[in-house]
Amino acid sequence: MKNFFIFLTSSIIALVSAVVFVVLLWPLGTVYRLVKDPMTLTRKPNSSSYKHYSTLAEK
Amino acid sequence: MDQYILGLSCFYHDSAAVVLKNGKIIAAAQEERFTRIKQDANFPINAIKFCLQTANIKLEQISGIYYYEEPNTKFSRIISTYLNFGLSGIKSFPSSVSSWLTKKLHVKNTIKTSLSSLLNAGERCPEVHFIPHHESHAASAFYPSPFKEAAVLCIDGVGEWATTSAWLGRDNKLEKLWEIRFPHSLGLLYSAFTYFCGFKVDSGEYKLMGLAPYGEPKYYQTIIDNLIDIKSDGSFWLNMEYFDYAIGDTMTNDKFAQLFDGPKREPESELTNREFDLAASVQAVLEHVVYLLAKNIKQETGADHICLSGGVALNCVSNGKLEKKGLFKSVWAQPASGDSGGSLGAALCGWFSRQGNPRHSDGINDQMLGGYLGSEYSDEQIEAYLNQQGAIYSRIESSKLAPTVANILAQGNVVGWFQGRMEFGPRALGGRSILGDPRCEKMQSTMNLKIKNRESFRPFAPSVLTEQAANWFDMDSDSPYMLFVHPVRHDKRIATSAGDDNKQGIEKLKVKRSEVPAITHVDYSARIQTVSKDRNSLYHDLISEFYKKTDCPIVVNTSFNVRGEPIVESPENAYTCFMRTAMDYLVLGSFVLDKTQQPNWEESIDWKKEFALD
Ligand SMILES: [Fe+2]
Repeated sequence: MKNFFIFLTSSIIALVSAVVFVVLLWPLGTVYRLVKDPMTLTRKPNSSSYKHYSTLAEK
Repeated sequence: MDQYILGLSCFYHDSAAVVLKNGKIIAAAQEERFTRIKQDANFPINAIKFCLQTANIKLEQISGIYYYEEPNTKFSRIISTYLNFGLSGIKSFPSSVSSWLTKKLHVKNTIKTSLSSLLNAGERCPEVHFIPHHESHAASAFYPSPFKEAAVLCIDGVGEWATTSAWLGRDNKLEKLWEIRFPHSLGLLYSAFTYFCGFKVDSGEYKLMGLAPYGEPKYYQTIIDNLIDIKSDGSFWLNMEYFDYAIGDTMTNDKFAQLFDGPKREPESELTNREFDLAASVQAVLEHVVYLLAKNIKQETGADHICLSGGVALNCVSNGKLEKKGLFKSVWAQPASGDSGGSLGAALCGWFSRQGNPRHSDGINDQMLGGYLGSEYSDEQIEAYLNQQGAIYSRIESSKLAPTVANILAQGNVVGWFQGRMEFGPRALGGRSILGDPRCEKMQSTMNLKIKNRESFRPFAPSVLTEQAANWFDMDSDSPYMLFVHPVRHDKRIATSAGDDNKQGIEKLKVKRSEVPAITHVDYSARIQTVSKDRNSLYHDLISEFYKKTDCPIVVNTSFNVRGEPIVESPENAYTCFMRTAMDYLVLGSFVLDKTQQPNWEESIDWKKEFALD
């Protein structure tokens, strides 16, 4: 019974998160990447070093 | 009143627990040793029970529990990653997020619930604190090191955001200098090649390192030109167009395969020159980056010593080369550099950095007690088990044990050696080891195929008397934790023929290259463990006796397990492994067992299927 409950919970969460992804995360991410690319994925930063000296709070 | 701290790492890979008493390491163990599941990531309840038992305390007496990571920061990194990768993240997002929402975000609760079985009515669970992942690694490297002041370099796959970080340790303080952030990760670059060469990520990296000497770094420039941009300070940026690890189920993608002449090698299929060359190439890139990072840290801090941690610090070839460069007076690497050691770092961080307790260091000795921090069994316990099994054994008095076993080894036998406390970290250091005669040409293939049940391209490690190490290997420092690779000295090498030199791939291993062929790799290198009397007196005695008989102060030392199995923890694990394999003798405490005298061993299951291939 406990396993069934866990299975049900994770399935519901998975379904909801897929919807959240499509309606929220994806569009938000598109805007986010246009403004800022914190992971420097596509835009190789034009700097002499890839070190971060800042704290995470500044991120 | 004595103060106890519990350190934990779990839920990703290789769970572990550590207990400190007034800042001193009392006990440490990985959960896998008790559950017999390799790199078990579950809550380390067995390891915790062992730690409490060794400290002889109840859970309630622990003043604080320190966990090796900050779950909220890690979760925010994961969400940011999905924001960055657009629609391609849809496949993995639901499963990743559900595991976070149901378990990984509620670490405090999960820990408290999991520990409730150890509390009696009315007892309270100690408070749980989080320590950032790389701070845990840095603490595990600096605080137990012999140094009052040292630079610290941590390189791993990823924690929260950091994949590489630099620190300056001074007394009881650890100051962060800078970090390089996900997805740009040297550890994950190495893991990507591990995956592409057909080995398991998080455990096969060691195999890739062992494969590198067979190849030529032919792809070095391809890697530099396409995959990684390295700055002069050692900082780097990975071109994520070639990798899939940030949000996918695999490490590399089709574009990566195109760059390296075809699809990835299937696990267990034949190794080709491509894999040898890929291993050699990525190893060379790793060594180059580690060197630049260390050079830069030296310039920034002026420190005389450097401490290493994070999974990449287990790359003993890179460590050995860094030491040889002489940038620092000494290099000290944490023996449990992977995430299991995060539990130790978190606990030490709690004691020194958060509670501000003073730290003492003598500049010579580290605080790891030789790595022997795990469980141990008395002769009475061992004998009771052997009697229950109906095993045939002889009890040897302690002064005769070393000469007796040395004799057995010198006759070419393979010996299971189970003595004292179990090691903490991935290497067996003479507590739970399988030993052999390194002079024997067939020893490598015998131990690999008949006992370890694995590929034969991997070299074995030598345990050498500390005082003799420089006579056999080109080294002038100590290597008690098997974390440094050094070459066999020229005067111990044997000239090879032209035919030998033309051999390719795995065939190269069959060439006798030195007086100790079983531990000499194809490039004459060896992963050395130096054994001193003060760290492991019995093991030192054994090798000394072997030296008296053979003029060779070295034995072959490999971990006491078969392929895919965690290192043995108990006499039961050891006897089972002994009976299942072609090991000739087993030495458990004071008891010596000869295989030919043992009763028949029958099992209803196929034990080879019990352990997933690593
Ligand atoms: Fe790590």
